Order: sequence, then structure tokens, then C-alpha cells
Amino acid sequence: MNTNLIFDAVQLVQHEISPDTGIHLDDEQLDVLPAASLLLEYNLSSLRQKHLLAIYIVITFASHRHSETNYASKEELIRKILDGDYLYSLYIELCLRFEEHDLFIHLAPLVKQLQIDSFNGNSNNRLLLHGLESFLELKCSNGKISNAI
Amino acid sequence: MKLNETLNIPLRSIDREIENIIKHDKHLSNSDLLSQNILNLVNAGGKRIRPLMVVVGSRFGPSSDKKKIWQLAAIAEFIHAASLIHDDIIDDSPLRRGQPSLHIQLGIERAIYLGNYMSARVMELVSQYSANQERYAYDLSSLVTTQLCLGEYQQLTHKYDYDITVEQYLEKTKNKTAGLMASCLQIGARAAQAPEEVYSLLYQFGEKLGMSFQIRDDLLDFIQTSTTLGKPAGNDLKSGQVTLPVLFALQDKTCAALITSIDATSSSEDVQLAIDAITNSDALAQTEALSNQFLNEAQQIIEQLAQYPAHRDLSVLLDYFSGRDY
Repeated sequence: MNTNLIFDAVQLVQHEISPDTGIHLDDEQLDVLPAASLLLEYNLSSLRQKHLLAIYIVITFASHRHSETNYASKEELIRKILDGDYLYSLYIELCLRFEEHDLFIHLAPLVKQLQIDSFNGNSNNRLLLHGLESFLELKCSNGKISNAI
Repeated sequence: MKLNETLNIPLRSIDREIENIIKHDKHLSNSDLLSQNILNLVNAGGKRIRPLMVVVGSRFGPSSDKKKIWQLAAIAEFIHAASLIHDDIIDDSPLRRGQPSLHIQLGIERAIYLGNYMSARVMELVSQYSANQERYAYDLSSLVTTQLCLGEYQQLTHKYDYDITVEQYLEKTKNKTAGLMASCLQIGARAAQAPEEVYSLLYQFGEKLGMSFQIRDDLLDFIQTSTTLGKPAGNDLKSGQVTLPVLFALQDKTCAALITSIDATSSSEDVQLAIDAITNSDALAQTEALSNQFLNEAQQIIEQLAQYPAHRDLSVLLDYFSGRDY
């Protein structure tokens, strides 16, 4: 189930990324399995699950591109900077287009915190995942699928 | 007289709001390295053209909430400053406003995160405004649109690409420069509750002004001395940027042969030969004519807004962008 969700979300993100950027998501190993599993715990429509995971993937990938400090050439560095900048802009566009205003309001301070932590050399890979989890608890807790028999 | 004085806009009010963006961030303390570097960057000055355009745009609407307009103007400058940090890394610029660029001071990695912080801080403010049902808040997202990045990608992809068309060049310029200027005017007007037909016209005006400005900037790269420019004349061609004067010169077969031989390995002498051929051709006159055409179209929009007293401010902006000194 979660691999289907990841596949669909990656396809969606790739479709949204302009071909002018040359960004290919499937070239990268993205650690989005925990987020996909988390989303499946909530009783959300499959479309909404896909939208939320797509936004999560875009932010994760933006952060990933800007955190890669090893580069073989100047052009590679430029591409990493542009990719990160582009994807951080895309996350906002997707939040607005998918009408996930509450998610945007919830994640904006966390995306900022991510930058402060990284600037100070304390990158926290779980920050975003915890942010998604707290969003789901706040906004979707009534729809959580119970494991109780 | 300076541009802001002609427009009767006190820069101090905008600067104070820019500082407040940092000072009111509960996740930072004023002594943080991050805060200090941003405050230094802001205090180093700048013409503040984008915030001035936000304020001018606001003069076309009935709302008189000045505090809100100053905040929006500050945000426009904050986003611009953030983009300059990454631009300086991309362009290898060692100096910014007379001081070492941030990536020279802090290293590339930290400078990237500092620029990211500034954009993310703005988005946090946008999210707070939107949580308060301030519908104009989402207009601010147009300042960080993916279109701006696409202009940069197009520039990178078309390095030393002499097959690029004038239409592609204009598209890149619209994405990279003109769109942001247009958005600044429109955001100010919308925040002040100007009617749709007015803020749409202001957007078109800003776009034409931005196009003219960028084309003129490309022209100056060929006609100004290295002392005036702060970089070698013809530097765009040497670094692979195929700008409008180059595209027009390519229509001349003799020029085309010299230009298309230029690549990253070319000697300074070969580049200079191509630059001389371009400056001696009709290309610069054609470029200037197109820049003036955009200014004329902008002038026509001013005439459509003549019923608003603020149309005079648009004329001031037009004069400024057409090259008059302030």
C-alpha cells in the first residue's frame, strides 16, 4: 500500500516539476517511507494522502539538495542551489493549489526551523516527519484508523 | 534627489520593518550569528526599489493602513536580499554592497542556509497573516514563485547557446527580472484594495518596466567602461550569457562568425574581437530601440491610469528605469 502511495506521489511531483529544471526525483533515494506509513494510519482520501505526501517529498528533496555540500564542478553546485530554491518555491505553490492552507500554516515555522538548525550545524532529519505527524493529529485525529479489535 | 525622496517615501520606515522581521522572530536571539549577519546585510543599504514599488502600488487603492504596507514593502526587500545571497554564490561575486559577500564571510553552506532562512521566515509571516484571514497574504507567494528560478535555469542551460531565439531571451527575462517587479506593484495595490483592473494594469506596467530595465542592463554591459560597471565590459559574453545585443548581432554574418566561436576556453583577445564587432554593428541600436519600446508601452499604461494621482509616481519610476540619475 505505502509503495503505491509513494509511487503515485513521486509521479505527481515529477509531473509538477518543470522539465526546464532537469530535476529527476527517481534518481535519488528519498526516505519517505515513514511519512507514507504515517499517512496511511489516517482515514484520508487517497487523493489527499497523495497530495500531502507530494508536499512532504518536495520539502524533503529541497532540503536534501541544499545539504549536499560535495560537488564536482561549479555547475553542479549551481544546480543544487537552484534545485533547492525551485523546490522550496514549489512546495508553497502546491500547498496553495491543493488548498492545504492549514498544512502550510503548520509547516512554515518548521521549514524555517530546519534552516536555523542547518545553519548552526544541527540538522534534524525527523523535524519534518514530526511536523507532519503533529499536523495529522491536530487536523485529522478523528479520522485515525484504529488498530484495536 | 534620490528616488525615494522624489516618491516621498521614508526609507527609514521600511528599514525598521525589515529589522522587525528578524527581531520579532521568537526562534532567534539578536546576538545569533544568523541574526547579526542579516542585520548587517540590511544595514549595508541598497536602493530598496522593490519596496518602493510596493508602496507606489498601494497608492492606487483606498485603504490607508500604512503599517501593513510598510510590512509588505519590507518583505519584498527581504525576499530580494535572500535571493542575492544565492545569486552571489552562483555568480562568484566576492562583494555585495561594498562588503565581502556572505558566502565569503560564512562559507557556501551557511550562506545557502541563511538565504533559505530569510525566504522561510517570510513564508512563516505569510502563514501568520493568512491564519488571520488576511487574504492578500497569499499574493506574497508570487515573490517566491518557481518562475523566478526558471529564469535562472534557462540562463544556465543556454550558456554559449547561440541558437537561442529572441522570444526565448524575452521569456527568460520575464521570468527572472520583470515578474518580480510586476508583483511588487500588484501586491501593494491589492493590499490597499485597488480594483482588479487597476492592479492588473500595474502588473503589466511593472513587467514592461522590468523588461526595459533588464535589456538596458544587457546593453550597458557593452557600452559602459569596466570602471563604471565594476566588472569587465562585455563580461556577459565571456561568461556565456547570450543577451539581446548578441542575438541582434548574430543576424550579421561577419559578427556571427566571431561570436559563435566564443566558448568557455576562448582567449580574451578573441572575446574582445567579438565585443568590438558587436559594438560596431547595429545591434546596440536595435537593443536600445526594444528597451524604449517597452518604456513606451509602459507610458501608455500610465495614461490609462491618469485619473489616479499616483500615476505621477509611475512616471517617476519610468524616468528612473529609463536611466535618469537619482
